Amino acid sequence: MTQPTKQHQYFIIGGGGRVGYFLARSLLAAHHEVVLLEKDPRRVAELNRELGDVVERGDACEVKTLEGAGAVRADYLLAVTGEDEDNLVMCQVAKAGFTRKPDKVCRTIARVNNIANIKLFEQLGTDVIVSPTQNILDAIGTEIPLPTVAHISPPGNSGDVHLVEVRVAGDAAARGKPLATLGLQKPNEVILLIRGTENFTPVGAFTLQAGDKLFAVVNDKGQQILQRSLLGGQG
Amino acid sequence: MAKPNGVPSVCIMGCGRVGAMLAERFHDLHYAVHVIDLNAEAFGRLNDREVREHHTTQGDGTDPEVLERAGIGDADIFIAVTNGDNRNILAAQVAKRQFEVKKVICRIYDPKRHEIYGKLGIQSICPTIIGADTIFAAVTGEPLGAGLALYVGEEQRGS
Repeated sequence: MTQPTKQHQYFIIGGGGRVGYFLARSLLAAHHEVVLLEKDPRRVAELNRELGDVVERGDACEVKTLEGAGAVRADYLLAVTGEDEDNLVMCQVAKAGFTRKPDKVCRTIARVNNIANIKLFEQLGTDVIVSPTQNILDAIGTEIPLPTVAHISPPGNSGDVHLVEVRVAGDAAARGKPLATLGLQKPNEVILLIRGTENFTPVGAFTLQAGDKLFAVVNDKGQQILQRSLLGGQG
Repeated sequence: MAKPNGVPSVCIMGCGRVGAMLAERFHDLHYAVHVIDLNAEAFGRLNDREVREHHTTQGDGTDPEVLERAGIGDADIFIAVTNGDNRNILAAQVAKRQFEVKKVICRIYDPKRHEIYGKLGIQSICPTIIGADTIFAAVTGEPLGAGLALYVGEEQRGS
């Protein structure tokens, strides 16, 4: 916070909602130059009281407003209103509405709510897209222990031996611990572990992470151990 | 939505005065017309009962899912005439990029944005310029100069 970042940069933030406010506060704390643009005069007064005089009243989608805010020399435009259309347009206007020195680019970062619009924003030249909706969906995908313990071999068919698939839950007891601490004994064996795009046979010292997918050959006892230590939430 | 053989199909976003008038005109020309608006009450502006009752979709036309429900997949023409410049701009780009509609035109009140999007290959008309020029001409008696080419953003091949 007190240490200036390597380079002092100029940020224009479009939209003085909560996201815009916290961004401005953080960037100012990191000693960057910031102008926050907000349409609603009441909100402008409120923000200026809290942030000091860095808030200007205006529509960040308008060339004139961006011009007044010094868009030609801005390093970043952060488009963070609650409306996708406004965020898209301010990014496009910031890029196409100004003539800059060839070495001077303004990177645009946009918040996108409708995930159906993410691809379009990418195609239309927004440099970075942040979608809270997508982020939360991704989080759900890794957090929910789905399917609990899936049987690959039909249970009961091969006596007390099962081939199972388990995903390490976000609140699993074994998270961050070496595989060996699960207490899986001999005939029980984790034969394959998939993490991201990689897959391998883990050694006992291998540390488990949420989201890891395990394939194991286990007996009933081994299966209970996996359930207890990997599924979390008393699954 | 369903397009009888060979009949051009037009999808209009925004059922205000302009949207409703366009819908009537294209309907009179026997185009397949479909109208989208956030507010179902806006469809009351449509005089033709068939259009009003069978060819409208309530929803946000910047949402690809809503556009799809309105049959944009079959549309030859997409017109964005809501009151929001940015909504029109976003919807026009969705129609053009994602659904590859051949003819896309939108309304942009802000002359600056009208100019910028012309360069980016989005065809638009700017009522502000048209209005000011028309009134100016009416007062000064000067003819309406360069004609519509001025008001309709050049269609350029955006990449």
